[in-house]
Amino acid sequence: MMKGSGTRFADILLIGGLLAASLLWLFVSRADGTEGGMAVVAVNGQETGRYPLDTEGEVALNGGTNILVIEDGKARVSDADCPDKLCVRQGEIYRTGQTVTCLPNRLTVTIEGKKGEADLYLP
Amino acid sequence: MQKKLLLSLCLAASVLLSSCGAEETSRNGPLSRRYYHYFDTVSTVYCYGSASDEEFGKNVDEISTILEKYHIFFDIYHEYSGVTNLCTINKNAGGEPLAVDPELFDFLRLCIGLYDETDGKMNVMMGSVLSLWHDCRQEASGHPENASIPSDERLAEAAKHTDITLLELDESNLTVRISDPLASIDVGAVGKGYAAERAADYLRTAEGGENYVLDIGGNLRIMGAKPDGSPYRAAVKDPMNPDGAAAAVLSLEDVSCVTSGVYERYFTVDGRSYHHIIDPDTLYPSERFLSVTVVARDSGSADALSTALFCMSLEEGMALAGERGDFQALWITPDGRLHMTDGLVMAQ
Repeated sequence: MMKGSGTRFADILLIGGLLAASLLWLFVSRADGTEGGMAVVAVNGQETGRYPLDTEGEVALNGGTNILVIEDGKARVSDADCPDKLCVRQGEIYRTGQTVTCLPNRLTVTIEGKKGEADLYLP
Repeated sequence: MQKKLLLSLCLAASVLLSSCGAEETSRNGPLSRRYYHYFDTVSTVYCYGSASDEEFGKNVDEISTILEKYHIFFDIYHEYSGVTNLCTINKNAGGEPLAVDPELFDFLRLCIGLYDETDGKMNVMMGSVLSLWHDCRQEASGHPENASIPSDERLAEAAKHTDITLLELDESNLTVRISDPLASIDVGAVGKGYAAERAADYLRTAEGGENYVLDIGGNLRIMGAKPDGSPYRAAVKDPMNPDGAAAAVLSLEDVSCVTSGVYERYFTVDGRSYHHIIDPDTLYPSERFLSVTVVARDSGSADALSTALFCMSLEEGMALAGERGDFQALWITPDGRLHMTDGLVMAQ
């Protein structure tokens, strides 16, 4: 029971490292800075997260069913557990209103807030 | 285990932190609600006006009820208890006439009208042919190594059961019957747009129903102009580079708009791609265009016309637009060139 008493030094290092990494992911903007676009993730119609496009990083969505990658001011789903992988095939999005959809997982990633060329995007 | 938990905590923290900076963006955007289960696609209801959450919630619930009703009517894969839908009608092909809901009857009557208006290019009785392509697309999606296309023999055989007159409507009894047991109805090319227009009917008389935009699986139904009075700017994809800059940006106000493109639903066999718009004459995916965009008041018409125009030549399509005068269109040909009707307004 008391075997794991006292957090080990290695664990502290790991926590510190991970925190630093996630903060880095947030705050290290690219030098040429894009204008504040966000990749907005919704599962079952409910927003679950927002990720600035001017950062670089990778995050597991929806408990790991889909992997979101943000780099070069663009967002894409790099991997998913759905059979058709259409979300992965939909490629990169970066303009306001563009959406990647994973129907099997009822998940969407939509670009919001960046000053875009249009209000609406046709399929 | 513990480490995994810590990792999730760090990720959760980063998500929380990042959302702080984004609320402003969220407040500037339209209210929206998204649905995943209608017509096997994604539908989003936007309100650009200053509606309260409560008012928006009420309207969006009504819209959802309307979409659900037509989703059930048009579903060709499932039956629902207490409803005679297209699946029931297909299963009953060759049998006795079935009584249907007056709203479904109205829709089917319109479908027969669309056949005549489009010189047979928009034919809801193509079910037997479309299901062959659908099955191949499904198989290719699950097992790309087994991807194949329907044989010409099977296509030709299926095409013998696609005459529009096989759909029999009895006006006095509101009954429907498909007279050929091998024929079936498929309204994929018009159903979503029709449902969007019914939702628009609701919004026209609803309290606070202004400034809505419906996106029903890519069928845009734009109610009025933006709250500041300016038209909406709608981007048409460049089919050569769907992720890149728009091929055109249209200026739209109080209209419907839909694009059919070869890049939407397709599968690949031996390096060749086969998309979902099947030409009733060749029984193969139409290769005339990369995309066709139609702007019309009625969303059902826009939906049906985008498919019909895809299956006729540019000249025939232009002539139809001139004859009818109630829609505008933008064609993108395989050489990447844009062709459009005179009345199409581009955004500045």
